[in-house]
Formats: sequence, structure tokens, C-alpha cells
Amino acid sequence: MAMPVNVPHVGENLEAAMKSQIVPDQEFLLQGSVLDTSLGVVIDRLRGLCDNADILPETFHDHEVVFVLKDFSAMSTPGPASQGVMLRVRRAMDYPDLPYQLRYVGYPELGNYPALLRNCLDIPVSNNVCEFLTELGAKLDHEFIAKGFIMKKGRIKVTVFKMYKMGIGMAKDNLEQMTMSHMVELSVLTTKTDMSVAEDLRALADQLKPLVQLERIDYRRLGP
Amino acid sequence: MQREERVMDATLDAVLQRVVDIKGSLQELLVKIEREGEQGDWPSYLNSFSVISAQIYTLMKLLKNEKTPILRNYLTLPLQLNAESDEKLLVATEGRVPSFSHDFVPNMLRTKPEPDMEQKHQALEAKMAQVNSDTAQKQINIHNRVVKHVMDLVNTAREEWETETAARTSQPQTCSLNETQILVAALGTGKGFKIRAQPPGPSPTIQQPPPQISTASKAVSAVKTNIKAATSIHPYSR
Repeated sequence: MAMPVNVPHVGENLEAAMKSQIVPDQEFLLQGSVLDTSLGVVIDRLRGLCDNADILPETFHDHEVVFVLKDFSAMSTPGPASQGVMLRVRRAMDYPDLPYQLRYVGYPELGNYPALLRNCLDIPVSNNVCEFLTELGAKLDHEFIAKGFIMKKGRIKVTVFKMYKMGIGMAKDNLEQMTMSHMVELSVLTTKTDMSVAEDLRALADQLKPLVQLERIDYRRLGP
Repeated sequence: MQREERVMDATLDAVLQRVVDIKGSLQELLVKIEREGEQGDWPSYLNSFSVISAQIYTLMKLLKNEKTPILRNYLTLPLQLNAESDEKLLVATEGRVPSFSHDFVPNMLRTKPEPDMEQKHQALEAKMAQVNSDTAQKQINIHNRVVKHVMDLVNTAREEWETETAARTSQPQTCSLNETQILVAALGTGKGFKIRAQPPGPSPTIQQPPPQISTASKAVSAVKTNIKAATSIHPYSR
């Protein structure tokens, strides 16, 4: 039922991956931000460092809706159990024909990894996924707009984007920016055993210093 | 006299050492270019360049040092030419100069300008002798003035450029840790995106509380604590 109709082959791929026990379901992540005034410099530097330096970086304009699935009748106690599971639905506003993307992101793993390591599953879904999730009992938690650039260097995905709050009236043009900075993320999907790629991630992050400080940041330690 | 010679020897040794260093780094760079070519990564090339430029800088500093005798005041004269190949010379020049012969010496120890240069120089000397000394003085003055003007222009340009670079290095603020944290928290937990404002209560949980509490918390804080107490009592009474 959750299997999307328009992209069946992805589901098959997933099944094959599960059978062979090699699932790239771990994500290494480094995060940082850059002030809007220095965005051009960072983009130029990234274009030089990443693949396809000769063409302009690809842009994206996504709308993300985050649902929470948990036992809403239970008493609200502090701790991860009461926070439920966050399910993120993304759609490309600039390419309405593309399938929606459903994403599960786990909590950051504890341990001394070179980058933040977390469980991560992505799957393309049909555009009625929101209704489906609501039927499952998930509740809409929040939503936002992300607009920016995407580049790649080998297996590393580099995104530079700005997040906007959605206005009260939910109008698509009524956007309020979150901060005066662009978010910079370096991420790579891998299996847990593959540590070498995390070192590549660090090397790329070091080359962006001191323009951007990319670090492993656990949002749960940032305080309320 | 002996002291001067000793200073000279020490200086030459030091210069030689620096030059050997530079040569070593250049060879390393050449080997790297040959082996890695375009596959080599930029940072390591840049490292090599900065090493070489630092070595050249130390060499120049050594030459400009007050204790270093001014080398151009010393003349080197070829006393004897020999067409026979010389083993020691071959070793000293790492196989580049086999003999101190007529082929090499004119290039290596030149003391006289090239013939066509010499001709030009003589033509200029002759022209100078013809010109009246007063007119010559006037021309020199005009020339000096023009040169001074150009110097001023260059100096102001340099000053401007230097202040500009200084200003650029003095404002390295390109990112803000605070904003990074706000953005990461927003991405991770949706903090700041939620349609209802986060209640400014003492609740340490990041998770949005159930709606009935959040609407109540917009009232006076005393009321909120009452409701909180009520909700916590509720399960036990059931």
C-alpha cells in the first residue's frame, strides 16, 4: 500500500538491497552555515572543489512537511520515547512532476565518528502520501521551504540552502526567512562499516575553512 | 683582509645551501607534476608552491642582510680555459658542465655586454656628447618630474590596495555559530517552524506539547501551572 505506483523499480531495488544485506542506510553528515553576504564566495569555492566545475550548480526549491507518529494519548514525558518518529515528506516545488520523497532520519549515533552518523532512509512516494500518513495516525508537526544549491563531489552530496518559515496563511509567496544565513550540509550515504568516506567528508570540510565551519552537531545537545 | 675572506666564504656557503634547498623543492615539484599530472590534488601543489616561495624569500633576505658583503662588487675572472673534460667540475655541477671550455665560459662569466648592446651604448654616448649641456639639464629635470609623478601614482595605488586587503582580512566573519545552531535545531526538531509559538514555559522537552496545553499556556502562567497539575493528576485518578 505504501509502495508508490509510479516508481515500482525503486521498491524492487530496495528489496534486492535488503536481501543482499547491503543497505546504504547510514548517513554521515557535517553541518555549518554561512552568512548570506558571503554566499557567493562559498558557492565559488564549492564549484571549484566539486565535480562539474564548468556548469552552474543545480538549484532546488523544496517544500518539506514533517509528520510525527507517536502515541498521542500517552502522557508527555521527557525522553526519546515520547517524541515519536519524525517522517519527512519533501516535494520539489520547481518540478511538480517529480515524485514526493519520504524520509526517515534517525537520532545521531553515539561514538567517536569523524562525522555525525545517523540512520537515514529515503523513498520516493506518490503525492497522496500526506493523506496516507494522516490515516496512519501521524500528525503534522511543522513545515518549511528550503531553497538553494546542490552539488556533488564523488559520493558526497553538498547542499547550500536557505530555510523559510511558511506564513500564517500558508501562501507560497508569503515566506519569512529563518535566519540571515544559508545552511551548508555535506552528507554521504553509506554502510556503517565504510569509514573511509567519512574522512573524505572531513577533508572537503577542511577545505572550506575558514569560510564555513562544518562540524558534527547534535541538535539534541543544543538546549531547549 | 683575512676576516673579509672568511666572511665571504661563510656567505657563499650560506647562499649555496639556500640555493640547493630551492633546487631540491623544485625537483620535488617537477617529479610530482610528472607522476600525478592532472590527477594531483590542488592543496599539495599549493603546499609545494608556498614552500618554494618561502625558500626564495629566505634567500633574498640573506642577500639583503647587512652582514652579507655586496656580491656584485666582486669580480670573477677566467684565468685559464681548458678543453679537456674535468671530473671535479662535472661533479660540482651535477653533470651539466663537462669542461671549463670556450663554449661555456662566455655565457657563465660574461664581463662585457653583447656586441649589439655595446654598439647601441656607443651610439647613445655619441648623441649625448652632441647635445648642449643646458638642454640636457632641462630634459633631465622634465624626465625626473614625470618619473616622480608616476611614482606618486603607483604609491597611492599601492596604499589603496593594501588598505583594501587589510580591510578584507580584518573582517573574517563569514559564518555565525549561533545561526548554525538555530538552523540545525530548526532542521532537526522544527524549532521555530511550528505554526503555534513555542510556549515560554519551563518545559525542557523540545517536542511540541499536546495542543490543549499550548492553547492554555497563552493565558497567565498561574493558569498554566494549574492545568499542568491537572493533567499530571488525571492519569492516576483514572
